[in-house]
Amino acid sequence: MAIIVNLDVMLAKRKISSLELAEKIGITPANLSILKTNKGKAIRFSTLDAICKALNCTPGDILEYRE
Amino acid sequence: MRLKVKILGKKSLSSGIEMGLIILLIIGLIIAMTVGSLIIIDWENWMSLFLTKTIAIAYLSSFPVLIMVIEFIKIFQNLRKEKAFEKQNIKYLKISYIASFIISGIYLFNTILMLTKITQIDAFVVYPILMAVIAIVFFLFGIGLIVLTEIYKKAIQFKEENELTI
Repeated sequence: MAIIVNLDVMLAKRKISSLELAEKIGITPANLSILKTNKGKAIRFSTLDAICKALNCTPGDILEYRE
Repeated sequence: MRLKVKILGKKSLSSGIEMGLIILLIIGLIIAMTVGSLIIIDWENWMSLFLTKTIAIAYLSSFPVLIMVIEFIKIFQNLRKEKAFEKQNIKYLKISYIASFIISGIYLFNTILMLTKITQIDAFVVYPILMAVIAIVFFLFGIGLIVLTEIYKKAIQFKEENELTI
């Protein structure tokens, strides 16, 4: 898939761990790991909304299209 | 009034069917070993008469039947564990439909063999038709299992996509 999830980059920029983020947005660390490692098939808007709120960023900062 | 039957899990229809299939497997193994021994011990007599020869050929179908029973036991074990949409079930269904087609092939071969040899009209009516019906039934069963396998593959694909939707 050409959609890349740059969650690691944003987590490093905001100096927050994935465990903290998972707790903040209400998903399990295992599910967050699926997103981080690009194994996810889809993301709900509600999850994307919660991530952007927690990291104070836009969807474009998290998601990238790379051919 | 709606009849509520538990299909998956412990103490369900699946566990009952699993138990039934295990008993059937044990009985089938005993019969197969007994008949097999009888055929091997009295081989010349079995091969001398045309009808007994066809019975011996039909006996070969017991092996794929037992394999099919084993695969169905494995499927129902997964259903008992509430693991309906497991990739393993696809493998078990594949082996089952291959076994079904083998059984159909054996009975079709027997039918053709009988058509070329039987001359008495009553025997002609009973045996080849019976063999042909069994061949057709197992062929259609095999087709049904192929369709079920494809449906299972799609269901597992949707399940995985749903699980990987964060």
